[in-house]
Amino acid sequence: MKREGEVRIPAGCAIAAIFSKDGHLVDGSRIITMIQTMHERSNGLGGGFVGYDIYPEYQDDYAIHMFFDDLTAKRTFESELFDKFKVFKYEEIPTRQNPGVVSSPLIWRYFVLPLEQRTMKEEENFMVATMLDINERIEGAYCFSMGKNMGVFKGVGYPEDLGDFYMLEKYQATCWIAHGRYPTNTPGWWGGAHPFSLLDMALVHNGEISSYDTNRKMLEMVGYKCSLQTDTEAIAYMIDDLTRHHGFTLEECAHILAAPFWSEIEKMEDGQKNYYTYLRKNFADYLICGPFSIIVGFKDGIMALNDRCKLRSLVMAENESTLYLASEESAIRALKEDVDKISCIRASEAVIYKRGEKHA
Amino acid sequence: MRNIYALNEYEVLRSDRCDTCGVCVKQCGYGVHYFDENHRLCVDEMKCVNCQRCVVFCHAHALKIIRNRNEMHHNDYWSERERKEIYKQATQSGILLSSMGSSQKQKCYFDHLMLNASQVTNPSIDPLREPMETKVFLGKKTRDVSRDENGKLILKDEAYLKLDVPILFSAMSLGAISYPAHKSILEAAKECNTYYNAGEGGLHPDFFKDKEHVIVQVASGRFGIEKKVLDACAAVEIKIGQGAKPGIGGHLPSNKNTEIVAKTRMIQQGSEAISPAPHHDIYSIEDLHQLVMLIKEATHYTKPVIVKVAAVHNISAITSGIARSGADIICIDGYRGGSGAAPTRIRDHVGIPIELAIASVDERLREEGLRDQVSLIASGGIRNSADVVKAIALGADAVSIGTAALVALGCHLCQNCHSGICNWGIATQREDLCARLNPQIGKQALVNLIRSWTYEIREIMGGMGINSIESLKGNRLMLAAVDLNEKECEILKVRYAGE
Amino acid sequence: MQVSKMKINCENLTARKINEAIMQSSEKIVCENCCGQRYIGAASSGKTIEIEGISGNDCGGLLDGSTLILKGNAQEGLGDTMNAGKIIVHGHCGDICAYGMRGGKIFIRDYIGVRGGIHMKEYGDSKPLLMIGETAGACLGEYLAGGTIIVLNRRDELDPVENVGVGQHGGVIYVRIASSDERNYEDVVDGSEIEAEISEFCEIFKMDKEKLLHSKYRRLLPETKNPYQGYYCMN
Repeated sequence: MKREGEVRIPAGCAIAAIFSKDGHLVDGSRIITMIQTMHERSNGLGGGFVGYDIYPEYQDDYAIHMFFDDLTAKRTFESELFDKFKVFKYEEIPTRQNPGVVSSPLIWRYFVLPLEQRTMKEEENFMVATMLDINERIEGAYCFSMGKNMGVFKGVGYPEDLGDFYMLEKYQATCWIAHGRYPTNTPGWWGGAHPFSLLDMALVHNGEISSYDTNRKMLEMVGYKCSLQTDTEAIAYMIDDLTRHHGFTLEECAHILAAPFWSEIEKMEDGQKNYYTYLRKNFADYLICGPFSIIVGFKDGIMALNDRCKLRSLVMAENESTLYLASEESAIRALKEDVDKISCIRASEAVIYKRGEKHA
Repeated sequence: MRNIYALNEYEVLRSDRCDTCGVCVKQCGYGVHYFDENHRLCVDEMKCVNCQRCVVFCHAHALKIIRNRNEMHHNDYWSERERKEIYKQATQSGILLSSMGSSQKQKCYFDHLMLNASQVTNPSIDPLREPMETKVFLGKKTRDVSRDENGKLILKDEAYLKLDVPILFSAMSLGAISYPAHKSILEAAKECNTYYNAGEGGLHPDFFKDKEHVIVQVASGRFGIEKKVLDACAAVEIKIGQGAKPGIGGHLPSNKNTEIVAKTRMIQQGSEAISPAPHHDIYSIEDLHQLVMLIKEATHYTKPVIVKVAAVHNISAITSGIARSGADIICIDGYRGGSGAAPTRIRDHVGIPIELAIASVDERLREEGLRDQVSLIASGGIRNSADVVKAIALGADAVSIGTAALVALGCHLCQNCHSGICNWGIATQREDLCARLNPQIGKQALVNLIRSWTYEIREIMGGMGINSIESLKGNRLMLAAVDLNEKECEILKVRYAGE
Repeated sequence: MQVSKMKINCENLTARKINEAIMQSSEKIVCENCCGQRYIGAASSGKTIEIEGISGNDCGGLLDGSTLILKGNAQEGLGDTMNAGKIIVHGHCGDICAYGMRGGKIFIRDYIGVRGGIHMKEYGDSKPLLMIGETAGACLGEYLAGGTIIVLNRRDELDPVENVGVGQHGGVIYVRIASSDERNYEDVVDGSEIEAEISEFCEIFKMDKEKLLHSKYRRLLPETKNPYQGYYCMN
């Protein structure tokens, strides 16, 4: 059977997030509770998590999470890694047996910094290029997380089983995002699960977008390689391109990805009208058509965004210390926390939190 | 010498329902129907071109035109057409001249591409309920984002065209077609919020006031091009070639160069209007850059420049050169594109299909990172809304229609435009014939057509789950191939149906 | 009263900047230190622009009434699709000058390159004039549809033009016949027919007009308005 990258696999999903507004730490069992509540939205063919601020002792190093099909792949990878990076620590990512999680690959993590000094921007470009190159070139090796002080944990199985497998209750994070996958078909490849991550950005997504090929071709023109052929990968690259290369804020980014309709723009006052027209005219091929709800994690912040027609469900709730996001309200209620307000996120609405300030 | 071998192409059949009212006599500009000295209604079939004017206008429905049932000795290789063309050249001598697009039976790739629709994994969208956007911008995209000292986005933009529908009207000169045909198209373009293209014959002064909807053409003959005309348009198109006759100039015969045509082209009435094959100031790609920039200087960078080329063998390299020349929009015209007159052999044998051209051009411009620097207009044989959707999914930003628009105005595709006699008042400059086309009615027909196609495009997009036409551009996952070979699929970058 | 001339130092300026400066300047402008910048004076009207140095290609393209005085030679594309105004070149001119010209006057003191005056045309009162002091390269006046081209052949060359007037279907071309040329030409006139033009030319370049007026000129008129009738066969 063909795996992601060789074939395009549409998928439906459940997504959830806990974001600590004041920086307090939350252990991984809480996010497992949320995603488990939405068990029906997954079909056991993929799940995953991302936690932020989980590696305080290595907070300045890139935390590389790797899947290896075999030891040969691992050895090839490591010989390249040690050539280019100073490796502060490397170890197998701790896991425990779970009956729902079978045929796992070798899962390792490396805390590294590039040997060569570069500017921040150049270093980020180097990291992305190096890891994507490894994924493409080294047979059986796959980097699925590369940010600083954060990490993705994903695989094939139901998300709650994977959370148990990775022993997430032992991690303390300021932000957790989870994903339960319902693909139409899958070869059961661990790399194809979500979140999809690039540097410190991690993204989960629910829905199948109909603009995929238009978005992909634009991305490939500007230098990305959509090797997984998944919507999540394409959306992540678009956000990366818009924010890192074009310097857009997340809010502007949301206005491009889920642009208002022309009929709405025409009703706006001139300043707003010109702003949205400029974005739509010049970045039309970044527009996402079709159903999606996404949650994007990044350093000290989170963004949730719904499609232009509100074709997927996404609920938010918050109290003084915490923001909760989930495909269904039940996932939030299951935490039995007091929340001040609970609301459905509207079409094209971007909910953006940065620690300490609210933007949305 | 006279073509002594000539046979009538058609038989004109008149049933006994005919009440000899004589409408057919009045309607036929070719003189097929006439009353003889005894006031008997007669037919000269030799003159009939099968434009159907008399058939449509016969209130008694007494007329029928059929192909001549006479059969020449059958030969699959030396077809009747081949032999008849030899008879013409052997007797009359000269380059065979035809009109409209190629009528040859060649593979049409549009007909081998099936469209996609959503089922379960994502929803189709009901265009009657949800917004369905067909607005398109043509021109360079500004991708380098800049901000002022307060971090506010600077909304600087290149000149562009803005269309409510992804359909423009193709360039057809005043000369090739009539004034009322031009008027109909311009009025329809205004109503549909798209563009009328004046063609290479200049812009009639009556139309100067509608500059927001006008594209003027700078062709090799430079007819009717001066500052005030460049000021009276929304965009300027440099015509390098057209699909019906790539590499060939144009000769508007003197009998079509009437007062109104002469005024528009700014030439002497009754002289031949000759467009040389190349622009003599463009012998190389850097010369194209020079002309593009001259037009931009002359218009103070306020208007996008379109470069129109015929789809020929090396089209992807050509367009990548054009994209680097400063042009904002490239129009690619496939070999099925129409013409008021083109050498038959050129029309039928030179160029490549628009589907393959668009697919390879889109791909090439992306490989070179130039796709956001230019917009693409596909033209040449767009017959219906499905063709529009397919052309866009193959990579075009918009299409332009010529023949389809003329058919909406009443053209029955007799392909005899070069005669200068058009009973429908379209491809003629004869005043009595021009008077037959009412621009008000013509406009309404075109508006109806564009509106109908737009509804259909919205339905097709809705089925695909796409609510903005921009997300259809180059979206080849929305196309599947049937009855195409691997090479064809590779060039079209389309998967086989079921794959 | 002499209107003061506005000076534009073209050194390190782009064509776009020069034209913007011209637009904002008074009527009389001097472009100094010009070195290859294109499109000077493009589509402009109402200005008198002196150009010092070497102007770039398409100088005076689409010119709409201004006067351009080139103190040096001209490059390619001089007066491309020019509509009205005047261009004076104190030197020679490159290829493709006056392409598609429909009005105004171009005076070149010396010679021009190939493809001069292709497809010049006239309508109503608008009749273009291209006047060349010495010789012209191949294809002069090809497809000429209107206007006047005059080759003065001041240096008395035996063949001051070649391949002239192919496809001419309007307008008129005069080529001065060298005094040593004893060949018979079909249509020969003296300079009186173009006295006004010769006078203007000689005045501009401070030359003696008598010799030119009393010379013989080949006159080329179109044989027909429809040179390509019979080339086609209706299918």
